Amino acid sequence: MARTNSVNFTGANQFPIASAGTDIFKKEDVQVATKSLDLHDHSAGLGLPIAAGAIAAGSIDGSKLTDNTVTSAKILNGTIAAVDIASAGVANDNLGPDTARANLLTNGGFEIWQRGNGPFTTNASYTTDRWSLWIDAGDSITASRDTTNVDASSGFCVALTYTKSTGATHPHFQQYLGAADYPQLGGRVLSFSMRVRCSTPNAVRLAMSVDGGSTFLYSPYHSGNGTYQTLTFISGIVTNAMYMGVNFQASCTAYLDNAMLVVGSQPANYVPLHPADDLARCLRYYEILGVGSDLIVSGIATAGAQTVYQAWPYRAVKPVNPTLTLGTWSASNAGAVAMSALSNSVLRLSLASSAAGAFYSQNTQAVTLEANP
Amino acid sequence: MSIYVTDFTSPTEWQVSHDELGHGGTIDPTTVKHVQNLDGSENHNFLVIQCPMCDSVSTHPVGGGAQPQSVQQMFVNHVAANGCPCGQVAPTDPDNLGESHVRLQVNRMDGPGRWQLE
Repeated sequence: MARTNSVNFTGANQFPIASAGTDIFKKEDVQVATKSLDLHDHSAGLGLPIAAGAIAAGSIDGSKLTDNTVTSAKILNGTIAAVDIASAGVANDNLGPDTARANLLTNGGFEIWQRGNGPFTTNASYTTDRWSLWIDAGDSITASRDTTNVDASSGFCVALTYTKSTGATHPHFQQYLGAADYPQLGGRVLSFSMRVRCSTPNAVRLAMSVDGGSTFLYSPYHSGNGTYQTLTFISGIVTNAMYMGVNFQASCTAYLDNAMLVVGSQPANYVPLHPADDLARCLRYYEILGVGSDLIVSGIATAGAQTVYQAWPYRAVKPVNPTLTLGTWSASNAGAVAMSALSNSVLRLSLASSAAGAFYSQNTQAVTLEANP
Repeated sequence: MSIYVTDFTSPTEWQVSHDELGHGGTIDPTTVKHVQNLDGSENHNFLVIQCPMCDSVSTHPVGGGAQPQSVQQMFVNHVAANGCPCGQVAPTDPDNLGESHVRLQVNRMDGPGRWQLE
């Protein structure tokens, strides 16, 4: 019977094993075996590896693990408790986009349309509250409120039809955030996102500027697959006024919904505001004081050319002094109602009598205040 | 419902837009007037512009209100043509004097940074 060699000790540490009574005993057999036993550490060629079952439960402490080698695949899902996370240890860029955060935009959901439902087609005109058009020579844009092509869980979206001629690279539909109106955003990084739907590839993308319009940055284009996609972009450091919007590079119809602007380098999914808060933000910039036949300036005169005054505080203080627009007012024994004084928080109208007796003037159309910083 | 100038076509003709109502037209710049103070004098901080298509009138503050760039330009053109009722600028003064005066008004009303004509 031939001798066999050890299997788990190999190379210079392999030793022969006598397998029959007739094998000759050699002292070298013991020498090699004992030398190998002395070197035995379970590494390759020096014995069997250690079976997991041979390690006592709870006997391996963290110091035995190599730094930065435990991956998430080794951790059972749902087992990391909040106490395992260092206090203040979750940075902004580790947040998921579904972590609710404060939206810096006004009317980011395009739910407020105080100026009407459109269509709006004039350059520099405002459409849905706080969002305006920037139309180049030869281009045309039509902006309207839309209820049939909205994103999930949305009341209204913006339908934009763009026809290209010039095709400049600035935002064509945008919200302007003035540096004086947002002084606390200077020096910060912002993340901008919007839900966009379009059936034309490489036609629409997000465009933003954080340096007063000197340079514009862009998200990738919508793929044109006809479904809503979330386009996102992360700004550099804010140094001046900000423009947030969409830029078109090909004629198309696009639907926009649920825009978000947050501080930090992680974009956030849109989270709706309470309707009262949503409207309150818009009122800061545009306010309908009376919708018709609900405002009146009146008095009793002893003669003609006697004047009365009526003051109305605004529902929201404006960032700058607003433009006042008076529609038609009916008058009885009076001249035309006129603005007497105006600030960023209150309006005063005046009315002069035509003759002795009661006199008044009443609005028959909306009275609006508009302040765009 | 702001009424504002979209094109300062010539000294005798401006194009205006009445935003939300989607109409507009041509006006004579001489129809754009200052608001009157209680004592009957003109207030150089406000200009009134009437829609050529309906009865609506917009009173714009010198800071710009709804359309800062257009409104500030309207004040500059108005003071160049008519001088300023405060007496600081005469119609015969150089145009840049009127513009400096309007810029000072803008800064006083809405603060530095509001000026948009540069």
